[in-house]
Formats: sequence, structure tokens, C-alpha cells
Amino acid sequence: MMKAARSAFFYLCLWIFATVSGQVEGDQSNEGFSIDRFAPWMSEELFMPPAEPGESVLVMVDFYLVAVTDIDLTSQRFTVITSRVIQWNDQRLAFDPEKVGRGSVEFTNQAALEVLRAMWNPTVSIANRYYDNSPLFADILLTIYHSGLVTYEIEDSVSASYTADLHHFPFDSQTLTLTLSTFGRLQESIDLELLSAIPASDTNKIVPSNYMFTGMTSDKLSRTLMLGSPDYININIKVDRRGRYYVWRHMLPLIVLAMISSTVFWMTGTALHDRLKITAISMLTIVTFMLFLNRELPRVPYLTVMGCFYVSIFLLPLCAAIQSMVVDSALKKGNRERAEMVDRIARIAFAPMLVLFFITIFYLRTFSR
Amino acid sequence: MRRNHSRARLVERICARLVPPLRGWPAFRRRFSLSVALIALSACDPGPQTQLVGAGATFLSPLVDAWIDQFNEDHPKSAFLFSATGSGLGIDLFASDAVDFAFSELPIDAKNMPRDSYFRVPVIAGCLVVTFNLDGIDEINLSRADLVAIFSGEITNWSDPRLRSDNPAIDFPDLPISVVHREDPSGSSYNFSSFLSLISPEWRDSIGAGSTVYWPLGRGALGTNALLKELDHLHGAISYADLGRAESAPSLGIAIIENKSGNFVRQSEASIKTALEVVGPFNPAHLLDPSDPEASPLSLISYMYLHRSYATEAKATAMIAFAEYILSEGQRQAESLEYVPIPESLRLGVMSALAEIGL
Repeated sequence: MMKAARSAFFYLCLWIFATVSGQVEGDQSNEGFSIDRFAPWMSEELFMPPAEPGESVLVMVDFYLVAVTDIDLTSQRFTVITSRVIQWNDQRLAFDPEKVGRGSVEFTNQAALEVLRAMWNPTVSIANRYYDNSPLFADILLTIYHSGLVTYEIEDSVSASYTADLHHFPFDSQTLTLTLSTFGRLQESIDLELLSAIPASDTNKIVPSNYMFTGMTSDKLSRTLMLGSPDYININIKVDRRGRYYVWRHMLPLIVLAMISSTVFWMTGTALHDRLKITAISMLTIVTFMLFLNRELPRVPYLTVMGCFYVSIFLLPLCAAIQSMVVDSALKKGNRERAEMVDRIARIAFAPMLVLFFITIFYLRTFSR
Repeated sequence: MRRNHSRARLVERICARLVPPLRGWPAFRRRFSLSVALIALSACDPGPQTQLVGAGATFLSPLVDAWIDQFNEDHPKSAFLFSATGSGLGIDLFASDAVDFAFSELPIDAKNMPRDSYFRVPVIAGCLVVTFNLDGIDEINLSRADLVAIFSGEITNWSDPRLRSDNPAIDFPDLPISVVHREDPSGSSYNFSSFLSLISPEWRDSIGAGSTVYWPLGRGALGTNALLKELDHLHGAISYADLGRAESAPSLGIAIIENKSGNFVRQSEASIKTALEVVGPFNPAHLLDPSDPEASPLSLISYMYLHRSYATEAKATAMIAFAEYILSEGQRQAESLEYVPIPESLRLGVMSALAEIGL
């Protein structure tokens, strides 16, 4: 009895599951989206490319840069909001506008995606896109014109990787590259062309405030001889860093700090302990600045311009400490005049030493590249 | 050197008067302080630029880009930007006050914008050409009847005998004709369909003229650039575009359209000027199909639309300067890009009217 009840219960559950998933014959409740509702002139033969065998389909892209919302130097990633209009011709989608009552039919978002699933489309994507866990948002507009022209407009936020060249940091320029690529159902049948790549009109406001937009270029990578290798189009967004932030927040305070450490040259020669205290505190403060800055930068195997400046400014209190010991040593030997001469020279030479150190380190860095 | 030295001292004395704490300082300290102050001042941003945005015809976008590049370089305090959206969208944006200026061959509907709220300034003349993609063939003659027959679908193959009759020396391939047309609202479509309506009553009655029409056949493209790419990609394609870009495309040939007098006159600067002189700039329809035997058809005038008033004085001033530049030095730039300057008498009249633009 119990066995029969358990079997009946099992089959009852199976039947409920099958019904809900639409597997039972005659159950049409989960038929899903029907292309016929929206585009009755379309047929099931639309999945092949709209070109003769051996010919390619011309797919053209207009690229519009809305804004660069973030440039993360440490992880070498950037985020942009872009609008891309992709157009191609598919004569099988042509219709009589008199019968339909309009010259074009539009689909948005979910409906657009469903229509695209029912027809061939070139699937233009951003090849170097970085996918993180943040939700994707996209506004999509699909328009089919009576002539068979199809336009697919998508506006979304895209994150991608880039390789930062920080040799001239903080006065560096970066190139943020988005690579457009297409993989259709038959990759060799698509000829991808970029029509235009333009930024939003107010270029002062389309990049983060610590950058300046300087232009956009594009280039097309030629196909390899491998069958199925898609076209690639690189869209290069060029930005210059506004280095004044680092000048005001890092360089000038450090120069002031170095000047403070030069006060030791006006102190009594025998006060070695106090002189060393000042130079040591200066050096530690410089190291702290450097640590804070390094958190913003990726770990690069070369010295940036800022790095050259830091090394130069670090050497100054170090030199002041050495000079203090020389002065103290001279005084202990009874050579007061010599000690005063060393102090006088140090007072004059201290500032030019910074320039000399910087030029030397910058030259050595450049020479060793 | 002596003069520079005395000038530096003069600056010092003036600054010392302006900044009292400097008066009692030794000379080298004053100079050091002034140097630091000057460096700090130079680090400040120069004032903001006045930005003006325009939209409009792809027909003359190469020329507008050249104008803007040169003007922005000469006037760094203003920044002009232009987006070649097409004539239709351009004047829609202008009528809705979304842009500061527009270029178009199309008129603005009075319902969208009252006539007394904007200036419509003729800025340049040019012509449309019928262009095609046939290997090894750079030029053909095309009669008016054949032109209509191709775009209405009666002639579907390049080997059609009707095409051979006007071109006995050309060996046309056995290749289907693929018509390509603009799908977006455009001045080029407006003028080309208007021309077809003028030369063919059947076309006028069935399809008509407009910035967008229901072309009976062919592929669509959004914008002139896309249209030219389609032409370049498709063997046997035929379409219409501006003379400059059609001539600069190496793979495209140009069809010489029969004019009203039955002559085949190659479109050029001279033929456009002839049409302008005979018809004048204010008869766009007659400009499309002039009756002079030496004039070529499909000549047209492009207009710049400006608001009668702008939100700020800086914008109004910049706009006037830009319009004056277009009507003076810009006319010389136009010739190098296969466009034709407007007549001198018209140009002077328009320039005097620009002074009415204000706040």
C-alpha cells in the first residue's frame, strides 16, 4: 500500500514538472516569443548570411563616445559609456511600406534581442571587454527599414583593459583602446568597416576631471590568412593626465619639505643630534608621500618622471645629513672656518642640487631604456 | 638687453606699488616673489572656451570640417563642433534648439520653427552626381529616361541595350544593377528625388520627392559615408552622392546625365557656375534642371541656418565671426574640395544681414 502510494506520488510530481516545462503534448502555454507577432514577413530561412556563397556582408559601425567614466591606473582598466550603431543590408527583410503602413519597424531592448535571435546578425562585440560582477545595462534599438537595411543601436557601459605607459607620469598620455570585432555564424562572410568614431560634443566633460581628452583615432587590423579570422577595428581614445594635481599635492609640498630640511645649514654645527633629527624626519615624510603615491600606480619596472623627482628630493635631506656629519667632524677637529665654509656652500648649492639630481637620474633612466 | 633690463625694473616698481609688502624688500627678494607669482598665474587655466555645436548635411561635411578646423585654430577662444547627421536630422535638431547652427539643403517646416526666428544663409554651391561601381569604367552617359528606368527598376542589368545606345564605345558587363539610396532624411535624397520628379511625371505621381521616399527597389544606407561604402563594396551598384567625394573614390565612376537641352555635360565647377549664373541661387528647383545647354543638372545650394538670437553674447559673437569666415576665406577653401563659391553680390548682401544676430 505504501509502495503504491509512493509510486503514485512520484508520477504525480513528474507529471506536474512535465506540464510546467511544456513537455506534455498539446500544452502551448510556454511557446515563448513568436516572431510572427512582430514581423510576419520574416521566415525561418533568415539564419544564413545575406550574401551569396563566397561573398561577404558589409557591416558598418558608427561609434559614439558618450563619456569615459573611470580610468583605474592600478588595475589598468577603464570604463566608457558608448553608443554603437551597426548597419547592414538583408534584402530578405525588405517589405512593402504601403502594406505595413510605415517605412521602418522598430524594436527595443528585449523585443530587439528576440528578433535578432530569429535572424542572421553580425554580432559586433568589443573583443577586449572586461566582464566583472557588476550588472550589465544596455539600451538597444533595432530598426528594420523597408529596403532591408537593418540598424542595431546599442548604448552601454563597457569596461576594458589597457596598458598604461607611465614613463612620463604625471605628465603622461594614455591611449584607451576598444577593439571591435565580429563573429558571425560564418566568420569569413563579414567585412567590418568603421564609418565614424566621434566623441560627445563637450569634450571637456567626457573624461574624469584629472584627465583631458585629446582625440580619437581608429585603425583596422587586416585579416590573417586563417579562415574564419574576423576583422578587428581599434578605436583609440587618447587622454592626457592633468599633471597639475601632482604638482600641487606632491611636488610643491615635497620641495617645501626639502627646503625645511635645508634649515640645518643655519643651525649650530655642534648640534648634530638636532640636525640629524630634522633630516631624518624629512626623509621619513618623503617616504610616506611615496608610499601613498605608489598605491595609485601599477607596479612598473621603470622609473617614472615622478619617481625621478622623488629620488632626487629624497637625496637632498640625505645629503644634508651627510653634510651635518662633515660639519660636526670638522668642528671636533677644531677647524671652525672649514665647517662654516661647508655650511655656506650648502646653503647656496642645496636648491641647484635638486635640479642636478633630477637631471642626472632622468638622463640615466632614459639612457637605460 | 638694456631695454629689457629697464622694462623689468618698471614691472618691479609697478608691482611693488600694487603689493605693499614688497616695497621694503631687497631687490632680489622682490624678483623671486614676482617670479613665483607669475609662475602661479601661468598655472591657472585661461578662461573657458565658447562651445557651439552644429549638425546637418553629409553632402558638404568635408567642407564644413575643413572650415571648422581652420576657424578653431584661428580663434582658440571658441570651439565649433559639427556632426554630419544628415540634412533632415540636422534641421530637426536646429528647430528644436538642440544645436546652435545647421547646414542643410532642406527648408524648415514653418510649423516646426517660425521663419522670423532664424537666418537661412546660402553658403556654398555644389552638385550631386550619379555614381556607380563597374570595374574599368570611369564615365558613362546616362539619358534622363534611362536614369529614371534604373531607379524605378525597369532597367535591371548593365548589359541592357538602352544603356549601350548612349555609350556605344563601352562594353558593359552582364551584371545586375544594384541601386543604393539614402534611408535617413537627407538633402541629397530630397534633391535627387526632386530631379527625378521634374524629369518624369510617372515618378512624380507614384513616388514623388522628399527627404525620405519609398524607393521602389535597392539597398538603403544611413549617411553618405555608408552609402559610398556600400557602393564600393557592391559590384554593379549605382547611387547618388556629392561630386567631391564621388570623384575622390578610386573605385567609382560618374554618370553624365543628359541635361534639358539633350546634351551630356560633365559635372564640374564650370557647369555649376553656369547653372548659378543663369538661374540664380533662389530657385533651387530650376537649379536642379537648368535649361542652359552648357549647364549640368543636379546643381544645388547648401544653406547655413543660424538663430536670430543666442543665449550669451560670446556665442552670438562667435557665430557671427564663423559665418563671416565661411562667407569670406571659407569660399576659397571650398574650391579645393570641388564646391563652388556663391556669387559675390549675394555674398555681400548676406554678410551685411549677419549683423542682426544678437542676444
